[in-house]
Amino acid sequence: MMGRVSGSAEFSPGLVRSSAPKEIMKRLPFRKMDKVLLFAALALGVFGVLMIFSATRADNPSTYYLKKQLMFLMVAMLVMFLGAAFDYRRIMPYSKIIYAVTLLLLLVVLFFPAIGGAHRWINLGFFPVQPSEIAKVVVILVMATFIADRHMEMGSNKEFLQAVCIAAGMMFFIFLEPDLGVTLSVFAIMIGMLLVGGARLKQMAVLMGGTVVIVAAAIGLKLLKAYQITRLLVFINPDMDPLHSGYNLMQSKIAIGSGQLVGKGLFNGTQTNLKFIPEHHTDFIFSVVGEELGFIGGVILLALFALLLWRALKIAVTARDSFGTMIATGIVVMFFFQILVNIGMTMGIMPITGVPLPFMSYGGSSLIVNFFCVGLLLNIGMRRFPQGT
Amino acid sequence: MRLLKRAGLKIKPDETGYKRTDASQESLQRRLAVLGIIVLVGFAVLFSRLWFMQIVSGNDYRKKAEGNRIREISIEAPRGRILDRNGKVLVMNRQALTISVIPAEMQDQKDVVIQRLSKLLGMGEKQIANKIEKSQSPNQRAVLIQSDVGEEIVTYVDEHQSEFPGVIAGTQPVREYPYGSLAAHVIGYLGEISPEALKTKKKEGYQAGDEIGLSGVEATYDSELRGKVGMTKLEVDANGNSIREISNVEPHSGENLQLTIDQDVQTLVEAALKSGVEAARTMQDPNSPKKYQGTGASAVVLDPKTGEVIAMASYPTFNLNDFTGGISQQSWQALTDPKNMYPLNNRAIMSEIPPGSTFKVVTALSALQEGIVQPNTVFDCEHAFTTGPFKDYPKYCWGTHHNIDLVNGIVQSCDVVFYTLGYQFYQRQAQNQGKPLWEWARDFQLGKTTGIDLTSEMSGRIPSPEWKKEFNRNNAQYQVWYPGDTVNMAIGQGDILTTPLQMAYLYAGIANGGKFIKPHVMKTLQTVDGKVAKTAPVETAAEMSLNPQMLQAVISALTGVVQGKGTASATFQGFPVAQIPVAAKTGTSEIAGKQPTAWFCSFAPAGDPKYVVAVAIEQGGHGGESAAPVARRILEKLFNLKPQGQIQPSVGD
Repeated sequence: MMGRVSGSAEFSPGLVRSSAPKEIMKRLPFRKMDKVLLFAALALGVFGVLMIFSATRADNPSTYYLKKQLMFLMVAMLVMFLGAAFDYRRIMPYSKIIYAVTLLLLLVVLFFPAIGGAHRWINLGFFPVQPSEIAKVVVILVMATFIADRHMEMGSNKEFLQAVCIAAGMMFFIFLEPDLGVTLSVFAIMIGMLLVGGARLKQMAVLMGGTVVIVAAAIGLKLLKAYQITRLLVFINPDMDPLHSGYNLMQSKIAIGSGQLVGKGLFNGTQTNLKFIPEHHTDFIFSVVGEELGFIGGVILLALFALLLWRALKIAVTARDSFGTMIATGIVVMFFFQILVNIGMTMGIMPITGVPLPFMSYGGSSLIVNFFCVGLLLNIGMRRFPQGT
Repeated sequence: MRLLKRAGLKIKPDETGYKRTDASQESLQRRLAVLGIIVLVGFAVLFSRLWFMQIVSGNDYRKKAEGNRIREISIEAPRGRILDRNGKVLVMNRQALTISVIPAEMQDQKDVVIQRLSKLLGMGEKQIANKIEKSQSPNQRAVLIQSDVGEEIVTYVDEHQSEFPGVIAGTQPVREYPYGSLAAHVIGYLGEISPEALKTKKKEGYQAGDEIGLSGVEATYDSELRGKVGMTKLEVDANGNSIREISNVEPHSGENLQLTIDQDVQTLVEAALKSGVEAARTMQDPNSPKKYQGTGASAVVLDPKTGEVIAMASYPTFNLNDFTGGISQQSWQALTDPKNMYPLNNRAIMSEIPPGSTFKVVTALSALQEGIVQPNTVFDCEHAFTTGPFKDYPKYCWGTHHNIDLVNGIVQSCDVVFYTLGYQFYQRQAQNQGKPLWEWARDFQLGKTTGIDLTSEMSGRIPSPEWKKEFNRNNAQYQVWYPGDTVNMAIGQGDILTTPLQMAYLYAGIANGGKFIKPHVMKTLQTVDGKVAKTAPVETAAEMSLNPQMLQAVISALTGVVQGKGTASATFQGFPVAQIPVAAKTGTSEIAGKQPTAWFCSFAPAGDPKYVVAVAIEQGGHGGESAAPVARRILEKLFNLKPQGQIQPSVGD
């Protein structure tokens, strides 16, 4: 029991600095927290841990990934709490600094040794940090600050262009790593936030046209890596090269399809256990769900995601201010894009781009950032009422 | 800057939020509703796709999944070759055509496939089923069914693969032994790793189904010889036809093992031993109506200065090629049938036999060191030893030597001389005086394994009062140590047991003036490109300080054994003992209920020993008549002498 909301629960700038944690808990409007959203996020986190264990049981030692993901999950819980504890509006004045620091991190990461051909991780010794994952939430916060600050008037060409530049700056560095998945995620976040932020369809059309030109130029100038082009082409025609790039996709489809209605049972996926699917604990985790838990398991997972997005959208609508609305919008778009592209990829209706499935794919940075976003959503949700009520 | 300033202002408590007009609020809600619809459509797409794949086309995908198999074929690493000391190849590898089976892929067709294989290979169905059962590798690993199959069989299986699900026709490196049975006991044989061995060796990377050395250097140096197994991962369809290669890890060959064995000498030693046994079997046993049975024999040639084993032979022996590709049931039964006298046993290290008179060097040297006796101390041998308690239970010498000193006691192997010394040792130990004989024997490295780099070495036994008590702990009346126990030991009889290698080691130690260099059969380990990776060290296991004068007296007595009145003089007639003095001792050891074992232990040249030769012929008669001729043949070879046409057996001990 949190106790009654007393007068001191009012918003005050000194809140975070004040007194003991217990006091904070008492003062925070946690009673108004969206428990359905919290449940959906936690259920997804636990679901993910279970599937990662199933996918990596054959590794040695068999609990290596399980233990690490459980540890990440615990850290993520803490981060979620932190994301909810302070008033989200306090972020606004710092958004420029946050943006600058993130750009710096994205620059620094390019000087770290490449793992698997990409400079994605800053190794802190105990835990490798993936700045591009952080960049996603920073883009949301900074764009939300900007759009709210401009009274949601993205219909103006000048403001529109400025907002695009905020996202484009991030995308440029992330693309250099290279991390196509996150680049596309940021692009999607930008599109979604601009639309909700008041942009006109004509502006969007110009933006899309411009993007196509830039991408075409990039391919022409060989800025895209050969494997990225191949993956895109294989997506267009999977039979083109079924034994290499298309192989993963084919095996993933076989895994999901063969799960049928009820699946082969947790831990019993033949495709998973025989390691037909590479990266089955990261990008292809949905294949494991589909194979082992079948249509029923897949639908339960989709339902959990839908629940999460529904509550997040609701928070976007009911937020007390534009800043909150825009943050929630950005998070919805980010989650939705990743869910659609990742699950679509495992089922062969989206290209293989290396986008992880939120809450499910193995990986500390991604999990922690996702729970931080949930924390922000809870934060906006429980502070939706004007003070005093 | 402007942004920061403005935002900073907005954060003031009472100015929270941006006021929206109703119109803009409506517009926002409309936009969010559009986003909601997009999300809904996205989920609908995912849901329908999932429905289509799992419910509508689920059966097709399931069939594909079932046909989807990864076959892991381990590519056996070529085992290291085994060479003799001069680089002659004793063991090599060749590629054999093989038929193997992956049990997991046979599934419900197992019985039919076994039936077909049985017809094709001419093997019993049970035999095939046994091999599959026995292999205890439940995974994707292939179980070898038959090695060295005909090319037509491989072709047939390839062409009719659909009739043989789970069957692989391929090649595999197998052991080949150009010399057949040569040095079989030193080299040793291979077999599939047992479940017990697997438990302890799993950490070292051994897997179920691995071939492992089960005896000889194949066992002791298995981890060096075996190399690393390679692995090809293939994707195969439901019929086992390979679709493509997924990955390939090249096998890494094992190291080559150079032995201290000299192929040339080994060949002769084995031949000499065999004819020695055959000769013994023509001799009449005076104590029974039968001839000597010659149930087994062994010979060891050592370099006393380095501990290198130049030759080590055991009779009867076996053909290593029988083990290639898995030994047949029939051959295995023959090799383990007691009637065939256990040809797999390396008698040089596994036969524990009383050493008989060859032990007298230990008694003599110990007594000299203790000061009980001098080389020229004279004894009186009137065939029977009747001193003290032996008045009523006399012990007999094999001859009657009258007045004889210690040196001649060794030369002529007079038992009374050594009974006397043994009794003196008994009396001293009863008074706690000096070092008992059994302790001396242990100082001479008897009663424990030499530590040679071969498996299954036996330790022999040096009896002592403590041992006797412990050994008879359930029979109180047998626990007493009698004078006869020490007296028997003095002539190498009674409860004392030694292996032929231990006796060779003993004589090597004496030849070295009390320095015992650990015997070994590994000379070097070499990488595939011939670089020496490891050289066996010369390891001094023990060093006794022996009085040089006493030692010299004993050694010169030993050189007398092959001349004049010596117990092996007849055998060494014509041997150039002046140029190559041979220090030797014959022995005939009795085991109750069995015919005597013939012993001969020697080293040469006596002044600067190069070789130690020890021969033991079990149930083969007297040392001089059966073992000494074998040793002479070996010594002739070692010193490149012209072989004597006919070698005389020496009559006597």
